[in-house]
Amino acid sequence: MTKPLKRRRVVSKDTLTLVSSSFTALLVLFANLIVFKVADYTKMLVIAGPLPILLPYDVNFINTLVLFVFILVTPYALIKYMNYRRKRKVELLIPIFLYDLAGLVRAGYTVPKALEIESEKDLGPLTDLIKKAVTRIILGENVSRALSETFKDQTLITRRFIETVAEAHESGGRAAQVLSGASSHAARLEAFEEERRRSLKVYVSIIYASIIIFMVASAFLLFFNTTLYETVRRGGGRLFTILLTPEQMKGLLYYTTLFIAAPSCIAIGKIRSGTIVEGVLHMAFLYIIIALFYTNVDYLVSMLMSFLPL
Amino acid sequence: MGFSHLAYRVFKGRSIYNVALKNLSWLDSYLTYSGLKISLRRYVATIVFVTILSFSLSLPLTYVFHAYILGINVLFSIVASIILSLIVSTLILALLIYLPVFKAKSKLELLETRLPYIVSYMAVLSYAGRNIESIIAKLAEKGKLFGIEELAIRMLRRIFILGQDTARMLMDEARKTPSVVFSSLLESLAGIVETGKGLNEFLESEFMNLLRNREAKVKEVMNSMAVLMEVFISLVVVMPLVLTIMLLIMASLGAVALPISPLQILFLIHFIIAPTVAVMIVLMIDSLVSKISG
Repeated sequence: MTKPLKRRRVVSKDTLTLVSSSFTALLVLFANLIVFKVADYTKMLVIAGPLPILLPYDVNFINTLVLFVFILVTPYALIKYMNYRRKRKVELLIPIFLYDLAGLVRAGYTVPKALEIESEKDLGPLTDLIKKAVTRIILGENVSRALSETFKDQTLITRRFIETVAEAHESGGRAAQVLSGASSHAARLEAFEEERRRSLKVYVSIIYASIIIFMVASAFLLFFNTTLYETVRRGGGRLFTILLTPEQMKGLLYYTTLFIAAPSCIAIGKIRSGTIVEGVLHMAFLYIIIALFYTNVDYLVSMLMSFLPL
Repeated sequence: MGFSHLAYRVFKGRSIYNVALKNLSWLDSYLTYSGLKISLRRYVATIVFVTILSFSLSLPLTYVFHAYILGINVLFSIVASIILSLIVSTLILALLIYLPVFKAKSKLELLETRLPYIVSYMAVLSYAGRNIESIIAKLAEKGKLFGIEELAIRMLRRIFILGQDTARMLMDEARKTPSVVFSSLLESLAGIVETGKGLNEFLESEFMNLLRNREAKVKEVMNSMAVLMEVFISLVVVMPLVLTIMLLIMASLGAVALPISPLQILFLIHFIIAPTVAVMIVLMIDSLVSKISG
């Protein structure tokens, strides 16, 4: 009696990355907070009210949180983004591919033969896909099915234009006309999309600039608060009371910058590529800059303080 | 038996339903394009049923709230609960009327952004020698790629199953669609079916026209984006900083006079208001960008 075959579960690369990065991030968080005790838990801001809030303002604690988020999101977002980039490259090459194919068909080749010739050219990531489609056709699969199956994971725009290749094959004698029409349309639409992307990129720099301005203004605010605090501490300002110590203020501004940066980066991703993953990568990059800034902002403040005759 | 069917069975032939049907007949075209698979009669019956149901459910609930929880006298409780229930049922009525309009408009907006790709594909199909009926059949087959599957299948069904004349069917669809661009495309296609000439040339010129329209749309979106960016910088970057400085100064001069602790206000600004505003603006940016990306 034959044994029934065991069904093997295949875990996708994305899931594996997400699980391993979550595990590493949790491990780092645990090591930093429990084992190495990098955070000072006495530094807690108590916001009184009907529901009192305890806010840890120690920079090391917030840095640990930033590191946690960085490890958690970066690998997955990077893999997704690389995947998107590859698909986008294929999309950009489609007009050239259609143009070449139209030329070959006009020269008298059939569509499958033209695809075979095209698979020998260097069209970057598109070459691999054409090779796969040609193999399927050689193995006896229908041209239309072979193409749609090979390109099923690509972007909608790529898949829309790949359909025209199958249509050209089905149209017989009009194939060259079909392909040259499709290639000119693809080129025009691609040029239009590129123009749209270029005009939207301005807003990405505006968002980046606004976050940097926020950080610089925060440094000046910290300087102002430190000056006031020092004046009161030395007994020079009996009229004044201090709302937040410089360290508490730094923690509060650090949190705010992080909270503002997250949705802003999602907006960047949406503007640049229409995807969130690119935004997540921008967020990881900005979070590191923010962490470095707030870890070293004291030097900037003390440099500004040195100009004052306190 | 579904809810809409029950509503129709209950209200069919009643005067309230007839009045509603007469006044809401304009919803028919929106229902067709909204993707809600329900006929006008059943949808109107559902609107009437849900509105009456919401009034009759909210009336005792609001009365209990006013009379027993707030402790207001009976007469005031009755008046207040009637007013509140009327408000609730009016809101539900408005929501139900607006739902197909909103769904149809967002679907058609998406269709308009994809239209250059659809027309390009149609042009390529016409180069291959296909006639309009065959093009519609191909669109129905590959409709998922272009987001036109439902519409193409409906048109195909009207031609090949119901046996309707293609030109008349296209004119009828053009009359029904709330999208001006799509309506004019269908009307022109109907004209071409009648004359039987120039499908290639028409689709080619229509493709160019659609690209020009999209260019204008991109400019429009760019203007809105500029305004949105100004709002973003003012509310997300400047506002928290200005308010922090103000609160610091006010608190340093003595926070006793303030009705709420400045620390609480700071927490509210930095942890709730600024991130919420940022998220809202991101959502607006997303909806703006999706208007121009096919």
